[in-house]
Amino acid sequence: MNRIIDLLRDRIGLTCNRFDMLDLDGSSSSEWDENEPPVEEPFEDPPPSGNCCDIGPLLDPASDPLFRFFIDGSRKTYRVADVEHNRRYFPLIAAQVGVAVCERDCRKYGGIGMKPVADASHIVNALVLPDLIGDSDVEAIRSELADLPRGYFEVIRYKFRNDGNPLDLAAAAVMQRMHNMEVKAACDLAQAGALSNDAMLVLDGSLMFRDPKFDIGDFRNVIGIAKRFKPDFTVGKGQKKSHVGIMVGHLEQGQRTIVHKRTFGRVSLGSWYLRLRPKKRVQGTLGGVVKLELFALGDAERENGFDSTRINVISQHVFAERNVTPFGADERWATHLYPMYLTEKYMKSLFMSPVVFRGLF
Amino acid sequence: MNNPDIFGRVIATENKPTTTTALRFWVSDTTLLRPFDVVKVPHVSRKPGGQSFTYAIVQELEHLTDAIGYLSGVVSSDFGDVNTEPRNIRLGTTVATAEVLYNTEDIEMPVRDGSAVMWADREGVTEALGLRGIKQPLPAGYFSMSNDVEIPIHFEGDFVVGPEGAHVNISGISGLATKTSYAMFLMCALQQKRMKDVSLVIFNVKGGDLLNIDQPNVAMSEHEKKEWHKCGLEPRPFDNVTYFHPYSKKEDRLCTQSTTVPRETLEDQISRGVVHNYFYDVESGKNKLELLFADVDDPQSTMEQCAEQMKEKRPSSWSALVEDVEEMTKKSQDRPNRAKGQEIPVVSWRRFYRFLQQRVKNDIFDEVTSSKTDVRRKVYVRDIVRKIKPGHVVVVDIQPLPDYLQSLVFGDVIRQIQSAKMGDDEELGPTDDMGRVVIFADELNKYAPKREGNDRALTRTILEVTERGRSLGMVLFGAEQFRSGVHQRVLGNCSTNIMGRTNSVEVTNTGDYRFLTGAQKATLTRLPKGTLLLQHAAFSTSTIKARFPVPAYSQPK
Repeated sequence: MNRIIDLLRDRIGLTCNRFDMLDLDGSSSSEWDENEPPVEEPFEDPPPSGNCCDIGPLLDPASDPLFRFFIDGSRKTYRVADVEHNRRYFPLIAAQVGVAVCERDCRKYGGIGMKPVADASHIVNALVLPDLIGDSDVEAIRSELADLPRGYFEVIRYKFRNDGNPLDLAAAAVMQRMHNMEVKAACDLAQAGALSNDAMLVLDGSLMFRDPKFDIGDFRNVIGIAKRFKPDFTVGKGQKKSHVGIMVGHLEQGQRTIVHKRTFGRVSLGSWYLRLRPKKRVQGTLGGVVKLELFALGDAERENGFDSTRINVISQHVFAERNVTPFGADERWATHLYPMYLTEKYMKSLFMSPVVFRGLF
Repeated sequence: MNNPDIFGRVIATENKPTTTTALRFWVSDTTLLRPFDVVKVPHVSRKPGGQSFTYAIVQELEHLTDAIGYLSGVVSSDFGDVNTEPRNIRLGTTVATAEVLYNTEDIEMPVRDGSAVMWADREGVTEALGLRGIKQPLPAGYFSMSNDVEIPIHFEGDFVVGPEGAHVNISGISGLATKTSYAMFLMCALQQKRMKDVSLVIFNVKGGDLLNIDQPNVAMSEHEKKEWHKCGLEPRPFDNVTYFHPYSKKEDRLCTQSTTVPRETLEDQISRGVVHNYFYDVESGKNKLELLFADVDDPQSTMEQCAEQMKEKRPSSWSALVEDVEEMTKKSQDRPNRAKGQEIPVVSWRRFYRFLQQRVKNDIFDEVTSSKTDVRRKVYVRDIVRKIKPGHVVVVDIQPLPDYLQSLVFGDVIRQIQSAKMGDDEELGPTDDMGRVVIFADELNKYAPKREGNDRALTRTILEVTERGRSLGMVLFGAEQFRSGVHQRVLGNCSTNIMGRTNSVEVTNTGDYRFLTGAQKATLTRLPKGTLLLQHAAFSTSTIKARFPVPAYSQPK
């Protein structure tokens, strides 16, 4: 069987120096939150009086959950070789990128009540190449990869910068591919009529995509729930200005911050923070707090902000998801909602093992 | 497309791989499975593009979740609030461990991860358990799976009554283990299926359960009758039964010591001429005295020497024999300066005398009488043996007798059968062909106990039967509460072992259950009435859990 590095050398003419495959996911930090746009102003209707509020009474455990679908994107990125090309030396990155979509319906499925949505979850194997390799060569590479017997490989390209670390640039390109897959999966669900007011979709992480080329209307019933967030944004106005970390530090279990508006590209969204766990039970004052995001849709929402009642209902449902937890199995247990955790586990179960993946090179 | 036959998938992990002999599979949430169910797994084939099937028997079931530890549960209940009702159900599954029994193409490769798991079909179960190809099938109960499939179980007759193997041991606690009922079921099967070559000798040691076995159980329901048919047998009592009770001088009690038989039953049996009373006259009884003292500790065998010396006497009655012993004791006392090792010490004679005087007081030690023969119905023990012939059942009631007399009668009958088989008993004389004689003895631990040091005369007799009886055509069906209480050599010679419910102390503290898995041991402590674990030389698996029907003969209320 032809190995990919042999193909690149023999058929394309790239000089590849084999590298002991290096897992890049632990070393690179590419959280979207690093690039969050600034917080602008409170974005709730009616305008709230303080920075925090109670979300209201606990939901009846037997009540129907609001969140029906869960999407998780994941990637595994490896440095597999170094390439010499046109007097340039750069790493050859390979990745597995995937998205998993799960549906929860305890009545329909029994047991834990979760099932992957048919055909919605998939994995892409990719070679990540800089634009130092020309279009013709990339086409030739695509053609060779198409004939591989052990799974389809696509080429992800990134713009090489002399001042940038090619590993980070490649990782960002992989991340972008993953977000595109997540967005497509969400749009597919919306367009299939699967989402509604009482059958919402939870997307793991922030909704602030870098390249929002999608119909924002498809995200009417989509909420982004981030397990981590950057705490040093300034929120509030005048003398009430403070970093979000300070505001979150004052939250008690079952309380949320007010919604703040953020704008990126041509869209606005509201984000707020909700404490799921008591402060004394988690590490640090930011532990046990999730960040929630909704796109502002419709003129009234874009103009006046989100209805406080709706935000509270959504917050109550998120709060109700706090149990059970992956305590002990995942260090992010305090903010990792269990259905999301299961979706992520399913996602990761679809990946090839690193040993098998290495064998392709 | 969903395949409704599939209810689980094989899982092979780094730590718990599938092997030639074992596999694990997870089970769908809606499946109800239990240990001893048999499953079928598609497997590789020797033919290109073909498929074989591996059959495995479930041994253990475990439910596991993704909770790393107990604290995961505490944290998931709002840090210890027992009233918290979590919205999310933790990911969990039931994992079954199964023992590989058989592959349709005799492939011994471990089954592959992800293989579908289905209920085994009847044909497959029969093959997998080793129930196909049995030459002399002897009904042994039926096997019931969680999916309501029921399969009759057969022992290989040649391994139960010889010549390939022989002897059956049945253990279990009283009341719940139904060991006597199972022994009777098995003997009923023998009578129905091996009428021409098997005879049965049953010792009744407790109650009156076995003293009216030729009359039907009128209380049996239709469902219970169907259970007999499931086993391939007719729900009918024993045929050709003769009862022998210990003789009593009390004519108002119909000259029998048996008090557990209702009078009307006894009168009916008398009218049919199927009940007799056995006794020992001194002429025949004096030769069996060592059996009379089988329960007495006799490390130097001096009691046996005394008994041997008394065989030379010609007393006219039992009281005359006692007088003879008294005389021997006195003589021994008058000769204090004996050479060491040449004579029996006086203390031994005194002991022998004391025991003899006390033990021959029972009514079974009587003289030969010529009058009232129809009332007394007296017979010698050798007459019991003469009644043994293929298709016939002899019930010897020893329940009214004290333990030492039970041992005497039991040992004497066995010895006489042995002698008859070998054709060397002058007292017995020529007998008809007995066929293969099955002897059922409850409380076997009383006759062949596990003990250190020299074995007693009776134990030696039983060892003789279990070690050499197979070739002679003598088969022992023994039952006891605890296997650990029975002589190891007796157990070791049993080709078939039946285990009923027992307690956890017996299972864990003795080595007699080492061959069972943890789950099988646990099953043993909670087996319901009418269910037993069968171990048989012809089976492919170590044990099969089987049910059997209630007795088809009359049971006292």
